[in-house]
Amino acid sequence: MTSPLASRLPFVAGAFAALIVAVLVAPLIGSSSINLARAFDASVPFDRNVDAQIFFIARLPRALAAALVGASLAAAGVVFQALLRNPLATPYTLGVSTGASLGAMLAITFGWTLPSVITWALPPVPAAALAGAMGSVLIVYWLARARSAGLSTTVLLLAGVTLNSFFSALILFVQYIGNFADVYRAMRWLMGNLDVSTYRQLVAPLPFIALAAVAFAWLAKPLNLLAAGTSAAEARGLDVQRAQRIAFFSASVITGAAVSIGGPIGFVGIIVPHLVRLVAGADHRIVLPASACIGGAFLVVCDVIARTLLAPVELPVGIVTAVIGGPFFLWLLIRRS
Amino acid sequence: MLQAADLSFGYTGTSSSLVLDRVSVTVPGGRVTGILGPNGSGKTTLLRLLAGTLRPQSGRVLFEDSDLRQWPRRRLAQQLASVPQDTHLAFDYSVLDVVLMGRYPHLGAFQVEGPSDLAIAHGALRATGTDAFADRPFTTLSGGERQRVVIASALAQLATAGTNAAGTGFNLSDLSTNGTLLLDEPTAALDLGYQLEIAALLERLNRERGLTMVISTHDLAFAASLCDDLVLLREGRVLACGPVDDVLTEDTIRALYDVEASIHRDAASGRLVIVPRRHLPTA
Repeated sequence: MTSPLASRLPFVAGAFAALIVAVLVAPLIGSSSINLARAFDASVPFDRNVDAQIFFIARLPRALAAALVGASLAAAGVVFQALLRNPLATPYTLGVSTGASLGAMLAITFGWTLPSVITWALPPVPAAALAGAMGSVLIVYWLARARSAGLSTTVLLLAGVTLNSFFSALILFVQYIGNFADVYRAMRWLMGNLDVSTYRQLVAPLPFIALAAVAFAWLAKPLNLLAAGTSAAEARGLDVQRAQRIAFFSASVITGAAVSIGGPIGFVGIIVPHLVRLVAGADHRIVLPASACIGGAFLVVCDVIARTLLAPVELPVGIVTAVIGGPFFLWLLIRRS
Repeated sequence: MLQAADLSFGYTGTSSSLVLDRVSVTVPGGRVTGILGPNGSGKTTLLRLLAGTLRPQSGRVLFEDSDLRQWPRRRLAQQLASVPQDTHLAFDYSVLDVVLMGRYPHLGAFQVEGPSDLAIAHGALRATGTDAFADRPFTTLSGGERQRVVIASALAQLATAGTNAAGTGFNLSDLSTNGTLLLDEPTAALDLGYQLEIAALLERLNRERGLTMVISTHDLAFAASLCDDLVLLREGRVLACGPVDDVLTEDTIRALYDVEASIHRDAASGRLVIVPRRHLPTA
């Protein structure tokens, strides 16, 4: 008698291997081609090893950023879908990303600056995006709490959807009063871009992502119970309110961190969890880690396509994920029914 | 023993719209108590209050002589399990996944199910006749099959681990003896065959292992054959309660459902037979 959990572990291992391969192979691809063996050849000093320099300094930060953002969005998608008991939920359903976008728009349009101590790790635009995301999280939480003692998922959804359109209107307003160059930059940011050129850009979001990852590890089992509804979960001994709170905050925080790195990149948070559930079942102890790994690998691949397809012109990666993800997702839907 | 004392509850919080109005019920350990009442009389609400998944506006629920609110959640869940009227899962869990969810209160936060948990789950599947579709997605089952799987999950929840070696299967003797099962219309979605099968299973769990049960139902014959005691609920108040033979009379059925019925005892089975005659216009 093998447990269903154990029998699905190889899938998680495979997903993790795919992520590692993607992160190692992506930096090899680009305008100047390099060799993985030479990049890791320790016998050549680093300052004379061009392959190693291109690999570790020019391209690896970007591949890591893609992996981190993809993993965060896919895992956040899983948690939001389970929390809202709605397979159509995305990391952006509750307004986190439009809050982040509004912050970024304001920073771009009004040219906000921050003390250099902060900008070393967090330039003004990501900082404002992060602040906007956290602000919208608090507003939605406050609204959802106002009506009842627990978190009402219906109120969460309605508040999130309303906040999304409200912030979208504010974004349009800010763009309307902005000058042409700023609006152009803002539009570029909204398309989702992984223009990460140093490891430094990953330092500030990393603690948020790490914190959420710890929460996700604890959440995997409670999310399974919540799939049967809150009162069934409570009858099985789960502290439902605490689990919902942890799920809401951790998934929101990791989404905010991911959006502050790459802008509101779409589709990863919905298509990856669905794909994983289709293959590996519904147990969140499998779905969460597998989605994170596959989401990371998927975004790394999309980013390679984004920067090579029309080279030397670079496409926003958000366009690539939507163009690949949309039709793929529709095919998945049709094939299933 | 499960006791409700002076429970009042309303979903909107105003006293004019109370679903339950000062309800007191005693469920003796080891006995089967049925809750009868028309639609909207508060049966499901009472079960949820007894399970602790709703908090009463006033009054309290005692389980084994301590207030439900004082029970640690997991300890309570190991001894008190619920089978809701209908279960909808947001995702495609397998039947075995669903039954294993019953083991949650027995495991630590990061602990995974061990061989004994699996043995219990498979035993619970066998006990409810659902082992044939252990690997099927729960959402593809019929209403009756789903109901039996959820009962299996509740049995797995009440079973104590470690009393039998892995692979030897689950015996009813693995159930903790003071377990209490709350079932909300367990046979409503079942055909005649499965109704009898579930009734037989519940009866066996009660007679052999002393499992305490509270069952809400609209099925008078089912209640008469399975239950020791009955609670009659109408418009949020207790109309009558006590042993089946005392409570189930032509007068109480008229008062409960506005239905004229005749009751007699079937000579062959010794069971009460209720024959509804006609619905009376409400006064």
